[in-house]
Amino acid sequence: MVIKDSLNGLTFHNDSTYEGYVLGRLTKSEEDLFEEHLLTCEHCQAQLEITEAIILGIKSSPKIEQDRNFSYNSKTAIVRYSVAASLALLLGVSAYFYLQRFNNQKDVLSDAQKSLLDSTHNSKEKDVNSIKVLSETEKSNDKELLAVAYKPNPIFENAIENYVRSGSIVIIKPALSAEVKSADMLSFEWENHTSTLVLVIFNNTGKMIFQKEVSSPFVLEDNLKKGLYYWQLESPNESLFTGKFLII
Amino acid sequence: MSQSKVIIENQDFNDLILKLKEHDERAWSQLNFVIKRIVLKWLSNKKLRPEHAYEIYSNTIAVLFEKFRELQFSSFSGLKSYVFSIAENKVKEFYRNDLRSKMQDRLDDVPELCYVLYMTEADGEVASEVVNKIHNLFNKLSKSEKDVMQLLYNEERTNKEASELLGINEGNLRIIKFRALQKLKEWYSHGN
Repeated sequence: MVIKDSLNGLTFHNDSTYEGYVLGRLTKSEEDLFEEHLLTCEHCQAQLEITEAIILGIKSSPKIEQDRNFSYNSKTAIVRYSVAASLALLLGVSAYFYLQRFNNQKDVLSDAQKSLLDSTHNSKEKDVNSIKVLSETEKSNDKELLAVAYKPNPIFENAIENYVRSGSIVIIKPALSAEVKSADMLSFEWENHTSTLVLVIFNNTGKMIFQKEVSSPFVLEDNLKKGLYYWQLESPNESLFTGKFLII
Repeated sequence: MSQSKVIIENQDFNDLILKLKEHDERAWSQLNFVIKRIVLKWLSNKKLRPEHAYEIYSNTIAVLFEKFRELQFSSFSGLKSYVFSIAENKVKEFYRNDLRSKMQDRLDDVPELCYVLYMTEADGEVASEVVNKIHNLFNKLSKSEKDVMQLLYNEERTNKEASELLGINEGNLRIIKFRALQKLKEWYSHGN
């Protein structure tokens, strides 16, 4: 069984293609190619049918007015930034006074402890043990944080599974799930695509941390923390390839 | 996803033509899926009412089915040209009956294909069912997902325009859209 993934630059089995077809955004030749592919691909027929239903349903729903929570013009942005800055300042001042108070209490506590330590040898041992326990807890917290940085992101994992659809593009580097010790050792290389593409890198929480128009080969100069990262190569119209790498 | 991949058969065009000649039901359903969209889109551009477009399309596919065994097609474009020639005759036939009233009955704007596809089947009952279902599923999305989907599909903005309007990065918009589409598709397929 061979599933033809792309032809003449048009990628099939792709949400953008279904969407483009329904919204009439494909060129005449792309439309012809897709229709011919559609004729023998039941997977695309099913996906197209769902996309049509979704678009029809959304088109029929009443339009939401401009009260979008995260849509704001520059004027409201200034107000929001001012409020955020004031809150941050307030928080900073409170933290300063709180820490001062905490240090004073600590000094008093240390004096009391000193007298106790002098009087009993056992209590000293107890203190040492508690310090040891604390440092182990800290270590396990660090481990937990590190584990979180390698936690796979289901959205991107799904994108990799369903969208290793590089079409005519051939990815040479990095290999899928490549492990590198430092991000500056990471190079990106591909073939069969002459124009410049946009390289986008996301961390495992889906936050975009790098975006640049690049051409092959490209060496990443940014320092990335240890963790799992996802990367995409994008042409102006679509995402051509989704991969992942680990900084260990 | 993997299940649907399994049912995909590697039929090339010639295999399909052979099956169509044998009046294979599955092959005809596949051809119908594509031809329906092509012909209805072409008829919509003539600003025909959806019910009239659907009537002409039904007559077209009936002729194609009737004559298919006698025909030879080496490419999909050849098959498409033949379908269009039948459809054109059916349009002429349609207007011939009462040209004046039917010309006046045309729409002012080109109806969108997704409306035509769903509104012409079962007298619009399928359409209301689909619309209500998607509308309910759409309401289950998060606020940001709703905003993105509204801009992209209701207002037909591009990714770039939508991201500028929402004041977010285009990459993040793509992720939000991807997530929303996955949710809607899953809910829709599983009848939630």
